[in-house]
Amino acid sequence: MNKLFSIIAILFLGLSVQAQTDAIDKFFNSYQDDENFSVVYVSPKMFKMVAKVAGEELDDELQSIVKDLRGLKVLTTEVNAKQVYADAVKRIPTSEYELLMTARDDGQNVKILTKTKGEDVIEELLLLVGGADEFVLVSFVGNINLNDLSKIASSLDIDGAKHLEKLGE
Amino acid sequence: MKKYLLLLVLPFFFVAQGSSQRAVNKLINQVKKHDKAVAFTIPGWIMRTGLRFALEEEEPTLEKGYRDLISGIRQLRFVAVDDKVEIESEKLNKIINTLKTKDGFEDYARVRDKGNNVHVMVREKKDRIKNLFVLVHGEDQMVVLNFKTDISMEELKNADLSFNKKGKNNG
Repeated sequence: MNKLFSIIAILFLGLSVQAQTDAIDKFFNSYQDDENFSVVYVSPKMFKMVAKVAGEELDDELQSIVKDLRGLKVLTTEVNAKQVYADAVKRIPTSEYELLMTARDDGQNVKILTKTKGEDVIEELLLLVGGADEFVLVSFVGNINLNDLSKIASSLDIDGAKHLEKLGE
Repeated sequence: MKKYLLLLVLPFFFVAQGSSQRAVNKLINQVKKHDKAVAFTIPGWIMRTGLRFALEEEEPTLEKGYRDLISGIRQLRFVAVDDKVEIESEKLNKIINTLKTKDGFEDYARVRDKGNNVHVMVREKKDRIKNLFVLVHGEDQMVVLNFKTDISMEELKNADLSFNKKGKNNG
C-alpha cells in the first residue's frame, strides 16, 4: 500500500513540474502569433545541432553556454506592456521559482527567477521585465552558468537582456 | 484476401508520403507566380554531380565528410521575392501548423521582429535529417527554401571537422 502511495505521489510530482513548464509554454504560445510581439524561439534540437556541428567555431564563452542549453524563448512587446506583464505574473507560477534578483529601474519592474537542480545547477532562468513601454520575457532552459550568461548578455541584442549582466556581479 | 487488403492499403501509404510535401510545394508554386520571383528546383543528382565536380577541382582528394554530405542531397526547391508578397499571415501560420501537425516537421528556430518572420523547420527520421524548410517573410521580401536530404548529424559534424582542419591549416 505504501509503495502504491509513493508511486502516485511521484506521478503527481512529475505532473506538477510539467505543469510549470507548460504554463510558460502556454503563455508563450498565446502571444507568439500576435503581430505586436517580437518572438525568438530556439528549440533544444537546434542547440544540440549547433553544439555538435559548429561548436568548435564558437568562442569559448559562447561554446560553454551553447553546449549546455536546451531551449531559449524570448517574447517582447511595446504594446500594452503593463497588462501583458500583469498577465505573465498571474499565469506563470513564479512562486515555484527562486527569486534571484528583483529591481525597479526607470519605472520598469525586473525579476530574475531560477529553478535549480541540486545545489549548483540552474536548469531554468526566467527574466521578466514589465514597464509602461516594454514587456520582456526571456526563458533559458538547460544547465546554466550565471557567470558565462552575464558575460554574453550584452551581445544577445535582446531588449531587457542588459539586466542579465548584473548576474555576474 | 490478405493480398487484396494489402493492395488497398498501399496507395494510402504513398499518398501519406506525398502529403508531407504538398503544403510546401503549394506555397512555393503560389509565390513563384509573383512578377519579381526568382525560383528554381534542382534535382538531387544534378546538385550531387555539380558539387562533386566543383569540389574535386578545388580539392582533388575530397574528404569523406564532404562526400557523405553531398551524397545525402536529394532536392532543392527555392523561391525568393524582393518585393511585397500578398499572402495573409493566417494562411502562412496555417501552413506552418500543417507542417508540424500532419507532416512531421519540428520547429528548430523561429524569429519575428518588426514585421520580419523567420521559420526554420526540420523533418527527421531515425536521427537523419530528411527535410529542411526555411521561410523568411517580411514586408518587402519573401524566401522559401525546401531542402530534401538524407543526412545525419554525424555526417554534418564530420564535414565541418574537415573544413575546420583546412581552415586551421590555412590560418
